[in-house]
Amino acid sequence: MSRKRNLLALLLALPVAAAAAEFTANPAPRDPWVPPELRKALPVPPSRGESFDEQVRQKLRASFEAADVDHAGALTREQARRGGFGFVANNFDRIDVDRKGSVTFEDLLRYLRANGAAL
Amino acid sequence: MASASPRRRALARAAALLPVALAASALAAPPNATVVEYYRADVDHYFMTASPQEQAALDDGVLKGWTRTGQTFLAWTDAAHAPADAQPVCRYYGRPEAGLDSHFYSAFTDECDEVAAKFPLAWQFESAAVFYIQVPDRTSGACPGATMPVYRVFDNRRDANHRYTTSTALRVTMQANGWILEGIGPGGVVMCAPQPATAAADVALTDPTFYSAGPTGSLASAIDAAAVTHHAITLGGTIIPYTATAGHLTARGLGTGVPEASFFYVAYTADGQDPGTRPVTFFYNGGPGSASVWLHLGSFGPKRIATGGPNASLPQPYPLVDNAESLLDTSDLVFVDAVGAGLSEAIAPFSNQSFWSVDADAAVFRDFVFAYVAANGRESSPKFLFGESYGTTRSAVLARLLETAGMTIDGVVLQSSVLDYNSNCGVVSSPSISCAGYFPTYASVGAHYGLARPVPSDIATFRRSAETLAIGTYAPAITEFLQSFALPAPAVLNTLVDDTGMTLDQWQSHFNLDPGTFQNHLIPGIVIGRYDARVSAPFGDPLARDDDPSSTVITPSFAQAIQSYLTTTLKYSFPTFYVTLGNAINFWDFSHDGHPLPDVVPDLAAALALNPQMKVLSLNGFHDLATPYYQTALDLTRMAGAPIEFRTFEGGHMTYLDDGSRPLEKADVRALLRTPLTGGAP
Repeated sequence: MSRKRNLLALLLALPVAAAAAEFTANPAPRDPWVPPELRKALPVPPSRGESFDEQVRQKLRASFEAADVDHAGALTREQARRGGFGFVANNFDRIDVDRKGSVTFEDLLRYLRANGAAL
Repeated sequence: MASASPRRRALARAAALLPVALAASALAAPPNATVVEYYRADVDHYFMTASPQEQAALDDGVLKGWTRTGQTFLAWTDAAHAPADAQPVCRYYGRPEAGLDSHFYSAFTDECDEVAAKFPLAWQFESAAVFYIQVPDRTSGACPGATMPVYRVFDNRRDANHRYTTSTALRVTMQANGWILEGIGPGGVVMCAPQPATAAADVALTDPTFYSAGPTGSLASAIDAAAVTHHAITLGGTIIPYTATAGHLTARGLGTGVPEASFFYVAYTADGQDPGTRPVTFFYNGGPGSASVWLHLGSFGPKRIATGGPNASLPQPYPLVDNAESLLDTSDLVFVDAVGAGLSEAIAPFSNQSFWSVDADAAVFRDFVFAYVAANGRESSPKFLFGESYGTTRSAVLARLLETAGMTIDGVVLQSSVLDYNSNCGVVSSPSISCAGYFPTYASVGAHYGLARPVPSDIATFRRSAETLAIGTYAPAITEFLQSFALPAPAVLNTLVDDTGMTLDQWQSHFNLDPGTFQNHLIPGIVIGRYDARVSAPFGDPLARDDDPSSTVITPSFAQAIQSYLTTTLKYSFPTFYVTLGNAINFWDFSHDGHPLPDVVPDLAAALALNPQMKVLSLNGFHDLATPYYQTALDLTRMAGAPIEFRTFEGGHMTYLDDGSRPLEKADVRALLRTPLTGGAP
């Protein structure tokens, strides 16, 4: 790191350092806490049952679609790996039971259910 | 006769047959097994085992009556790791029907064969190789270099018990008690155990970097460097040498490799363990914006700050002591600070604030875990996450992201959970949110202060009835109240008064009772703690300054101790201050799934969908007014059928600070860490 960068960081760090120097003034944590303007809960009760399961599936679907860069509705092993869905890449042969060389989201769900997932 | 020691004859007969011990071995892997000795007083028998499963069964009392003697020596689990001249150690079991009920071990194959041949009925063959170890010269009893002799003594009784020890003092004592020295040479040597690694030299580090915890904090570049120091701790009678690594590691974007943040971490790794089977657990606090100092120096690391909680009147600063409940006997431990806390900082072009959101924070933690695993060869180690408070929010998202990215997580420990911010009426303070989930906590606290009527004769029964009241009576009454402002019948109100000690006036004016009101009105003139409601202070007292005496009383000790502990004990020096609590919470983007506040129960469920073998352990304190245990139980019921272990302890948010609860909590976490693996990553 450059000297210039060090100086800049020192300047930025000073208020924090000064506060921390006085240990008794160290702030006490308040976790969990949110700023006043955020203290509104959802107007709907928490999801349960089928709507909860659908939320879970949506999360998996989002990962699937993020990797499906060509919007083909299916992932090859390589696409899954490059797209951050390592789980699909690692388990590809077990998901791709029909040996199509690519797997759909339904293939993934079928595999997860067979594996014991409550979806 | 079975009463004779099987080995004496075998050794004498076969001594000439064995080739002279092979030349000192070529380089071998460090010893990966600890042979632990046990004693059972009622039969005056010694037993030893290198098997972690057997040790667990003996330690946990599955096999009753056995206690550790404190004597151990090192060995290898298998031939592949052992030096070329190491020998398998056979084990025979003397049948109880023959009056024995005792085990016999030998590192000489010919002696093993002799036992089988001479005593086929009395001594039952159990294993050809319970561990691997080097052997002495068959004539002189001399051990090869870098090993130490293991002596064998025989009780000279019908039950034929043997003891194996590296201690000459013990050998002499046993002989004085009538035990017969066996083995080769004047010392009676039967095995040669590797010397415990002589402490490698410590590597101190003076880190010149100024770390900033502010929102714009952004390092121009970062170097992965760490101080490495060597220590030992005695846990359950066994000395565990360990290495502490304190420094920085760069997290890089998944798939992109772009540097994101320089994470500060302290890793404790037990020496000489097999990374293939040794678990590694990642710990972090929450906030968001908190460093991991609370878990690091309060819970299951090798040192802890002895707060003596809930007693708030002990002299300060509290001492830093060896932690008898450290999990280092079971898992390697990595304490890591969030970006903008402790000494962790973003790397340009990112700034700390780039990672101050629910999703970006979890993603950069994922990238840290990948970086740590790759840098330390922990790919095949069982992996666990241990988060507290907001750290449980992080864990749910992080577990999903790690599983999605292809890293198997074997278990998640949720210490004092906030999995759905929308369900906690102490956080959202929205009049439309029911506080019913807090009621069992109010009742526990009322009982603690002797305010519950009638005085509970059995606290567990009392709590169960408070839980039933919360869900069966109080919750529906709140629903009614929120719709029509109608209070329930006086009989119901009186039950609430009796269970908690809050007055009828209070219940009438604050029927949907929030924890802040409870803290300030349960006892006139007194504020009770939020994190641990058993701690209290009069209004105006210095401890009441931040509305939470339980937090105010412990914070200075933790802030001071981490600073000197890092510098002095871990030899990691730095020019700035370790930021125990940054300002991230005021900048944090709490949104998740398109909603303003996070509900991460579906994230945890998604992680479990990807890995149904992942274990989840929820730890909760009865006196925690920040994350009420019963609300957490209700939140978790949304994952219908998920195999979640739910535990409650005496204590507040940081149950591990309670001297009675910490050992119980450790036992639960230890059981999780030891759960047999069911396949792991393909």
